[in-house]
Amino acid sequence: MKKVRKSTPLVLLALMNILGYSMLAMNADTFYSKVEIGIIGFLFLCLMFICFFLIKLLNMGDNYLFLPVAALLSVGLLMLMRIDDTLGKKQMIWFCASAVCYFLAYAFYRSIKVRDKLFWVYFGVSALLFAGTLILGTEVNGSKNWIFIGTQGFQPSELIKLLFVLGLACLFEKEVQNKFMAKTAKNLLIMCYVYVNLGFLVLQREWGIATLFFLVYMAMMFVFGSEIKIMVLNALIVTAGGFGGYKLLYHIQTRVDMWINPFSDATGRGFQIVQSLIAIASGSFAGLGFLNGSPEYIPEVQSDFIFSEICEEFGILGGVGVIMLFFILAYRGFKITLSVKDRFDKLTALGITAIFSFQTFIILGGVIKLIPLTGITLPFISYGGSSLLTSFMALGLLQAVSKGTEDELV
Amino acid sequence: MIEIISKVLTYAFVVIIYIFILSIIKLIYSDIRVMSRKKAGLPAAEAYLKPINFPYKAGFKIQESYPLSDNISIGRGKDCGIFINDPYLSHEHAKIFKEDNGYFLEDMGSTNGTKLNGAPVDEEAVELLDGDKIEIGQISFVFLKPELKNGEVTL
Repeated sequence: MKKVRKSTPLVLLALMNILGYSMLAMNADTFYSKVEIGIIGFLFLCLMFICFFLIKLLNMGDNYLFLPVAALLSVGLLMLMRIDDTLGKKQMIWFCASAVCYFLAYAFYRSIKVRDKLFWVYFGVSALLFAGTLILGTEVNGSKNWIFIGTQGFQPSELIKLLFVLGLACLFEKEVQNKFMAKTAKNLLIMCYVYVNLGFLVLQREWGIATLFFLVYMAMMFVFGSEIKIMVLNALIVTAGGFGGYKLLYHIQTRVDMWINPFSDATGRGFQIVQSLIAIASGSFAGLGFLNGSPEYIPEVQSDFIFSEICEEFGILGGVGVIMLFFILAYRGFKITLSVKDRFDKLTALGITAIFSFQTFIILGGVIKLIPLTGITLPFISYGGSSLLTSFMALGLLQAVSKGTEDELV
Repeated sequence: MIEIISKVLTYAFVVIIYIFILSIIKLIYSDIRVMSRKKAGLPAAEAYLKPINFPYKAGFKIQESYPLSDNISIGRGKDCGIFINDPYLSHEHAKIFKEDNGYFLEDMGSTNGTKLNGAPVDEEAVELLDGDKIEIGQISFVFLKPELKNGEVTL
């Protein structure tokens, strides 16, 4: 096997971006002038290399974690520049803010040693955010999950994802004696915490994130709780809840009906998913070619349905490439989880990995009609400030955990 | 015409993504190999340095062992392959390199000098043999180069 130099992926990343932006610039009817395209591409590459350089310089643990993320960001930004005339620029600004948050999250996790005793802080802040959304929130697309300050909106539920994982990690961390009562008490406490969170999300009609929270809880339960009875109980509760919701709520009925047969109402309720499927189908194996697709026919193409557009222009091969990048990210997450010693670190790393992977699964499964569609963003690719900031903060925490594995040396 | 060009470029883009993925996987693979060798009690490299004394409360960290590559420098500079934050060390203190299957030690003009089995080493390289004692700054290392016999390691 030929040896791969450590810098090879960076060279390839640069090559990928240069190729992408020159394709954008070559095309006559893009939304941006050639100068703007050049500036944005250059800024993006600079930002990525600054991040890599800082990770190396500050010796921030896992060197491979940021690589797949950088590739995902490149694909995402290129798609956004191609779809719309302002989103690409805005996304670039969000990248800069997110990179700062990434290092802040890293510093937070490394510097605060009592991070595993702050359960009430995590829970308190998320409760405040929930309450704030319920009172001040604005309804967008059937979910009351946005807070607007002036014209700038943000989604508190994105930030709550992180707080939820940290809170769960605090609760799971406490080892109890092998007594039935103590164990049951602990499990019930955790269940209470999870269902309070789920309750708030259901009030906001955030079905996607509610599903995500539940799956993350089950994953952590499976790895650290190892209580089959509790897992079965939870599965029963959620099945019952889901069935009840299906019977009572029009919103969920639509989602499930359109999952089973979207073509029964292709111009109405099933419009989104039918357009997404048509886009993926017209992309075929190798794709129509970058800039040859027609994103204007796909609704919400900049956030939820960006994967359909990737599939249309880069084909299933490109789509699978993107999924493989997510696989590498998840693999690194599991690797970090396995290699750290501290229980709280392990729990945090697992929770964050679970968030990345389940979020990807839920939205990709939704747009390819594998599971009922629920609107959440594709991490690192979709447009969206709050989503991007949170994903970067989560990545920063994971990076901080990975640093811990190296401190065991003498 | 434009459409064909953009299609070809798109294929190139996708191919680059795959090569990128492959290169990361290869890097990770070589990483795992090193780690699993460590776990199995085998040294990560064919030769390595093992610290044999460690001054109490020296104020800096050392590793349990330092695997040697074909060309590695030892010193207080962050860019050294073996980086030890010992104040008695020079920025680039000494160098170990491989030539004709043997490892050689060379002093890089350090302030406090390097000793091999008690004798000072100057800028002329000396060959290292299994079990040699190297003194650098406050730390003494032993140079280990286990011979591989039938795939097994004998120390």
